[in-house]
Amino acid sequence: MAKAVFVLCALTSLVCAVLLLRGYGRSHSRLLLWSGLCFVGLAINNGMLVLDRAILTEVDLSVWRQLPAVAGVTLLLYGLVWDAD
Amino acid sequence: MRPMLHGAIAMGSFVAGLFFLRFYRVSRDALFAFFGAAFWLLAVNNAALAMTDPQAETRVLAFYGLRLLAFLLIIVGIIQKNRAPS
Amino acid sequence: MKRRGIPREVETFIKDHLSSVAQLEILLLIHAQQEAFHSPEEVAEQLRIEPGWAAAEMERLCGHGLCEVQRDNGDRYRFSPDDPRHATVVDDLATAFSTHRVSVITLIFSTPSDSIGSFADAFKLRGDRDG
Repeated sequence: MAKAVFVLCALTSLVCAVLLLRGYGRSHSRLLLWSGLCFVGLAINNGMLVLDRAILTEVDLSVWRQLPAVAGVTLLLYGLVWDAD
Repeated sequence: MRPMLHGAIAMGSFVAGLFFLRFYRVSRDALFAFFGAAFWLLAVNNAALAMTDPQAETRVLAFYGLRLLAFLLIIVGIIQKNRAPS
Repeated sequence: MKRRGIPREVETFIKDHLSSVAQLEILLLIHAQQEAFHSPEEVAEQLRIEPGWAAAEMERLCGHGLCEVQRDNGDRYRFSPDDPRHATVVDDLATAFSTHRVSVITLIFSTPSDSIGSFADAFKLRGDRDG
């Protein structure tokens, strides 16, 4: 059940990332670059949650899996502050 | 270390939600309301995770349920964006 | 598909090509009398603006591929879009301006580098360009 949730969240994040980065390619609006990268980070975060839960049960990824999310949210904030007019 | 990371994500998500709320007020585009709400749910989720053990994130329904809700809001937001007449 | 009573193509056209009301009025003027060439002085007198300003805006319209210029003994301009679809769009624009003046003017002044709008448009799955 939890695995399915994280897979769904990872896929949703990926879709958002693709849409935003594609939009950045068209409009060159940098907010879309940062927010797209944020969703890449969230996708990795969710992906690692699937891994952690399903596959790598001996290794503790609990700190590592937060790092992409932290990086993503940081980039998003940067974009929101500087590039959202 | 881990609580700090969750706290950082929580605070960052909360502020991002604030921005999305502002965008919603400016543009009246419901997509931003959905994104704002989603990021606020993620903020609550991470704030709570900061105070529990690492296993809870993947084992306790309340935690991954909140995450699910947040992303469902994003999905709904995107769907309604593509269905609305404008 | 209309928003605020203005067809989508007209809205896109406005955002892509028009940055001032003067430009819009000049365009509509030369469009209304498409067969003739117009001098900046004529246009300036009809619209009650400075000839120099009219000339600059008409040059800009040419730069956007919306009119052609004849340069002998002074520049004269005629509505002549490079893209044939623009002819229809400007027809619609003229209609829209007469029926929804305020909306058209509002669109002209919406920020060109609209990151919020671009963000929202990125999620249009149909790939609507220049949203």
